[in-house]
Amino acid sequence: MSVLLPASLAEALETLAADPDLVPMAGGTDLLVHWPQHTELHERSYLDLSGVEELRPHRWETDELVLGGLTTYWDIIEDQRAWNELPLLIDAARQVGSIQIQTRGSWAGNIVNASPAADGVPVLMAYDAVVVLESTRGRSEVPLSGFYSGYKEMRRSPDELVTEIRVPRRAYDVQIFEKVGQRRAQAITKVGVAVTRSDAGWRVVANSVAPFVCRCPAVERILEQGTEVRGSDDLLPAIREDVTPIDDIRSTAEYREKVLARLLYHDLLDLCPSFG
Amino acid sequence: MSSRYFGARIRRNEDEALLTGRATFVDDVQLPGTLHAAFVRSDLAHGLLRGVDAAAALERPGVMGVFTAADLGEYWQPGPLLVPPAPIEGLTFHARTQVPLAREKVRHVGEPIAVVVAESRYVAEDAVEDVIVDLEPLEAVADVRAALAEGAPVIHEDLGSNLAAHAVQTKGDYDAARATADLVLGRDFTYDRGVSAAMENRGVLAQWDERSAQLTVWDTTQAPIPIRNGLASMLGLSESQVRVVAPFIGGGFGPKIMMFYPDEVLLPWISMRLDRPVKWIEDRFENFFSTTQERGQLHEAEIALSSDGRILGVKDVFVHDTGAYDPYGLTLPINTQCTLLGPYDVPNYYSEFRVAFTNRPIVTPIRGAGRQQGVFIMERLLDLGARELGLDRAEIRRRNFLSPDAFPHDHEILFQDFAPLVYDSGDYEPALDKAIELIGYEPEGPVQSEPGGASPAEDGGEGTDGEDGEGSSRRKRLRGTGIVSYIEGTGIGPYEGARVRVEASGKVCLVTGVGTQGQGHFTSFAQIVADQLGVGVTDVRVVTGDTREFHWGTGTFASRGAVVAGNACHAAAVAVREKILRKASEILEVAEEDLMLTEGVVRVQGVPDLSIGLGELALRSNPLRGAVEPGTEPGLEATSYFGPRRGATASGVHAMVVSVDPETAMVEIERYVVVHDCGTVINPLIVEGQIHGGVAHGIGNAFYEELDCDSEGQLHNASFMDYLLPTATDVPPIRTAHIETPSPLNPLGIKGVGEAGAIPVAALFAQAVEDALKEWAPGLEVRDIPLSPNRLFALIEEARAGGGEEGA
Ligand SMILES: Cc1cc2nc3c(=O)[nH]c(=O)nc-3n(C[C@H](O)[C@H](O)[C@H](O)COP(=O)(O)OP(=O)(O)OC[C@H]3O[C@@H](n4cnc5c(N)ncnc54)[C@H](O)[C@@H]3O)c2cc1C
Repeated sequence: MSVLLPASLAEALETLAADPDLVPMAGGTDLLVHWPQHTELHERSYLDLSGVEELRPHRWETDELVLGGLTTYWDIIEDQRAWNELPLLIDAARQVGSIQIQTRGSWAGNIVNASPAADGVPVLMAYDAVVVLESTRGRSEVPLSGFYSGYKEMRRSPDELVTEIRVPRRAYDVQIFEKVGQRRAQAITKVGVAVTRSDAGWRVVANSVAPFVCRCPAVERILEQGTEVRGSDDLLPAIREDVTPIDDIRSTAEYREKVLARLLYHDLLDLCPSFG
Repeated sequence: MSSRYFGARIRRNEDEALLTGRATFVDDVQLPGTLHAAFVRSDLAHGLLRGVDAAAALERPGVMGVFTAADLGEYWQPGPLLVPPAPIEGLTFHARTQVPLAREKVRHVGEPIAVVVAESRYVAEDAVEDVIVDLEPLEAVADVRAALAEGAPVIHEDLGSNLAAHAVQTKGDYDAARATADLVLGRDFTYDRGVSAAMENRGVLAQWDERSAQLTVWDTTQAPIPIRNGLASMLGLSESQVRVVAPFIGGGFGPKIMMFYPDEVLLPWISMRLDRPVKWIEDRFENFFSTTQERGQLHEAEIALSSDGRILGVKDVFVHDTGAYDPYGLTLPINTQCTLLGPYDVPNYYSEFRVAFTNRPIVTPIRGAGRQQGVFIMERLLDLGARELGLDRAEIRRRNFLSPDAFPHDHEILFQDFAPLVYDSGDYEPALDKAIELIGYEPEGPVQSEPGGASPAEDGGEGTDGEDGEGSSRRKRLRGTGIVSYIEGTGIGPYEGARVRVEASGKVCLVTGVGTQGQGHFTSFAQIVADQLGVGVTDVRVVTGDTREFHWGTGTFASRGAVVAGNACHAAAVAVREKILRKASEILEVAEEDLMLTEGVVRVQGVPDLSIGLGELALRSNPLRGAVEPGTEPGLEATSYFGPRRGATASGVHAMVVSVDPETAMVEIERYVVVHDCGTVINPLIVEGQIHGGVAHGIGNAFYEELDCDSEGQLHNASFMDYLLPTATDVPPIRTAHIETPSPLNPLGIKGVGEAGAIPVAALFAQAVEDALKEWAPGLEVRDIPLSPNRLFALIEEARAGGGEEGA
């Protein structure tokens, strides 16, 4: 096993092009947690991105917030503009692990780790974030909502790095993020949901209820069309169309489905005239 | 007794070292040339061991040895039965104690099969992977009920079944009482297992020194002296050749009183063979298998009540899971049996238990030690009774409390220390009143619903303020209150000792045989001694847990350190005080009655110029010339022992307010109150610390901590990622109040407190949650612990779907 320490993005991309088997490492807060169980990881070599300074800063453009490939939760928590404009990023960031994890863990790592329970992904997806991938072959942009194709499967080739995450700046009149874990902090989400409404319409994104974090188009349709919803159970058919929760050690499919419906129902009750 | 420190709220002497990271724990002891051990453990819960092939491991560079049961020869012996069963009439008990390494068979996942010793832990762990184990799987039985069923796979074949014990204890005539009752309620209850989750896992470092023929063992044990005695006997050494040191320990909680763990037996032996120090530090994953666990019991319980809520009798029949072996005898089920009676007058009692072997890690006491289960059963029965009779929950308890003049109260059954279960003293009603006042409990209080907190999006960005768990919840939260009471048998014998010595510096050295795992002994014991000797509390250097310093004793368990060792410290200090005054009176030529002992100086009342410092006195008591006269001893030193006739009964009332989100079944504890009686209090700050830790422990057990074990005995959550301990955000601030009914069984009037906080929490949780949900989910009954958010969700759904299934 070896760990390579590129000093620039160009060097990182070349190194990765030469050996696409290398595992990129940002904060390491996912990689190192899986380490003891996944012995196959011990044979791999690592591309430690921590020295690639240009990937760290985030910046505000006229019409978007651009996160770097190494931007951490804490970087955003410290940015007052994010509190004002894109508060769900803050809500999610503050729910991730503990402060120690928030200062190490990166948004890009959260996306590429591709856990169905990831907390950073739902809010980014509800804000229509776009993932920017770069390799020596060039640069491509993939909407986060189309990034995943299956459990831990995604539209990223092994030689590509996530170099940016672009979040449009829009005016939202609804922004909601809910996480239900087994305890109040340091808990893996058993069901979570992010909801936004802007000129672009409703976005409903759920986590821990499918092989990957995903939008819920059937629920979004109900909201767009103003379909009458008289109680949380009325949302269940749409939810069952959108997601496929399972029973696991943390929860049951029934819990996930029902609680997702209830979170949505109660959060939207005051906001949607069609809910009553 | 002049009381300057005793009873004072003072900070702990040991905290500076602990908080600045300078305290020595086992893994801090680094000896040159140390080898490191790692264990080859069974992957199966039940299997026949056909062979172990260590050839490849032995070839790995850096490996110094691989040892199996066969290599141990005569040294291979099952561990001792730590507590023989109490002499209960008609008792059945089969002792099957753990072995150093599995020989013909493995009986639980994680049971050690071989130990690898290498130049580093890395090499040792890699070499573990090289060892080939030939295990033939046997059908496993992990469930305690299945273990006792006809045709279950038998874990100890020679017994013919998995029944480890059976006992009945009775008082009065339950059936007769039942026949006259106005109300009889019966239910099934389960209390599941958890781990103790001490912050520091177990660890052992053994060093054999060939030149001095001395064995030194650093061990995270709660019982260094018994470990020393056992090792000397097993290894054929004199006790004076073996020194066991239990330095600072990051939490004991009971499993560290267990002995002998395989590592404790093996490392000293290996160190002697290889003539190198050998260290093993348990990792967190191993801890889920190799350290003992507790609390698995199934109860079928029944209460007979009069129409005014008086207890006429209780019947409880239960099965206790002891895991693969039962080295701790019957301590746990007997504690359950005895503690169930609580602070109440129970005229008729029938209690019967069976203990079953299962293919799971070994069960021995964890903080509370069987008491939780008893309290849970009794408090649940009272809650159900109150509900059924339309009585207030606090009122039904009040009506059944033993009255203050009922002491000593004989319950007519045997306790874990073989002594009759007799409560020494207590006064329960004031504690209940105080708790009611502090929590603001309203009899028959209505359910209040409250809108959730503000949206976090509007939150100004200051740290977390409690809304995080439920995000921008607009859902209603239901509030409920719980209030329960309990007793705890503490401070049992046999004895502990202490030696107090005034040194030439005028400072005091206090040595006792017990070990310390965070209880504050360096302060409490110092307080007791400082008062007697008129010195400052920081002038007393306390030494615990080192067998070279004190030869006699048993250990820290059963909430007994302060009671038993504390009184020994007191006795030794009193004896030294007498020596001081006698010597000073000789030197100053003043009658002893005219002497005062303050600030490290003996003074003569009314004669300010005439005095002698303790240091000077100590020097003069150990002269370089002259003889020690017959009947005297050199130095200002005394050794004393204390052994109580029986345990002291502590008690308490816990109350809390919870708010439940009925849609997600997430529970938040809003307020928590403990009114506690541990006799006279040495240091309220330390007592509160013990209680807070206990409550946190109890909250984990009641709601979060759950071992997800399948029917094959495989554990699915052996990590803190999914074995949920409560964090700081799940444990509320705790208000405490003290009631003091001194124990007549020891001169200081102390009762133990170490386990108290943890004991009633599950019962309290159950009641408060039911109270919160009484309108939302009518008929919901909590009968299984840990409750867990998922289980609570299922209970709510069930109750709302069908008015709740009526009890068994
Ligand atoms: C104690 C603890 C608590 C946690 N709590 C939470 C929680 O509450 N919610 C939550 O969602 N997560 C949680 N996590 C998981 C983790 O912290 C987050 O997923 C985090 O965002 C991962 O970021 P990282 O930079 O540490 O990723 P790493 O571990 O460095 O990498 C994760 C994956 O992303 C890949 N990767 C990283 N950066 C790039 C890049 N720029 N381009 C391409 N691939 C890349 C890596 O190869 C790897 O596959 C927790 C972890 C711990 C240890």
